[in-house]
Amino acid sequence: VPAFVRMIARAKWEQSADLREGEIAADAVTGDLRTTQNGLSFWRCPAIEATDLERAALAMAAARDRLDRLDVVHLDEDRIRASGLQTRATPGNTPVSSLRSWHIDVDALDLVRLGTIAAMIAMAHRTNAVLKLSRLEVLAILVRAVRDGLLSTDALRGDLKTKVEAALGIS
Amino acid sequence: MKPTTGNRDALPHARFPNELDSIAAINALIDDDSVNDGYTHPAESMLDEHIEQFGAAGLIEHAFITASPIRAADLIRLLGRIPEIEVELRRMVVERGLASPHVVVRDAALQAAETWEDDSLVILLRDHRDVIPWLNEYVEKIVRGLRI
Repeated sequence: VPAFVRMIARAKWEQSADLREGEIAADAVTGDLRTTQNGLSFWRCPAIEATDLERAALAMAAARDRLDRLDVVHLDEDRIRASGLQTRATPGNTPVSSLRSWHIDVDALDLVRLGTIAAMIAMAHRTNAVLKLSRLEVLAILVRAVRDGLLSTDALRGDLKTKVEAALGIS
Repeated sequence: MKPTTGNRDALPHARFPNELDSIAAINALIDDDSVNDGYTHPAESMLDEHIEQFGAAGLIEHAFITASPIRAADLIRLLGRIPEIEVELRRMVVERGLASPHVVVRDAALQAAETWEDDSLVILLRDHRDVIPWLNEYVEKIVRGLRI
């Protein structure tokens, strides 16, 4: 089954003491689901398999400017489609050119439809449909991508570029 | 998540006459723009200057008495990005952070330890048992990484 994946800050999706069981914290929604022109950015993995999820993680990690951990939530495409959410493939903002076509926006979001996505992410968090990569695991994925020719360090930015180059022994 | 445009070298900030004003200015930046993994935050350059001028102890104390767990977590995550924080203060951040009832604060303390890459923190992490299973898995990964 294909999956829609996106970065989250997982701790914000834990049950908050000031909310009732099952309620979704507004901090999670306002922090992790910031829309642009009523759209929300995802990466579409061909399958929910470690290799594909790591590819999506690579696309996201390579676009950042710091080496940090990465929490990636994955939602079944079937559920997105069944919910009637509108999607549109758009080129992804990542230096990994072979993965740009994996990018997809969920479009035409209003408050109700954004809530639908929030509920899906909250459920994914509860059922552990989250790939949690440590900082070192993110570094390993980036280093492997450079060695495999998927990514050039010239396309990386800031602290991230420095750390990846150091790991590769590039001075 | 929205990338931030912060850059440690880009924005020189006026020095504040006292520590509380400086902390208030840092808080304002954090409230304006939450801290996102993987992206430099606009408050980082101000944090550097704050620590140079006042040291980190007062800021750390503030992180643990602030009423908002989200703000406290963001501040702790930013402190983790500053390698100049002394070992004793790092230990304080991790120890007090892990004792927090708020998962976002415990998670932030773990991330700070991970980012400092300080193997002297392993003993604190190794002894931590969290009620959240995925947080325990995160601890194990950090400890493994610090032992390499």
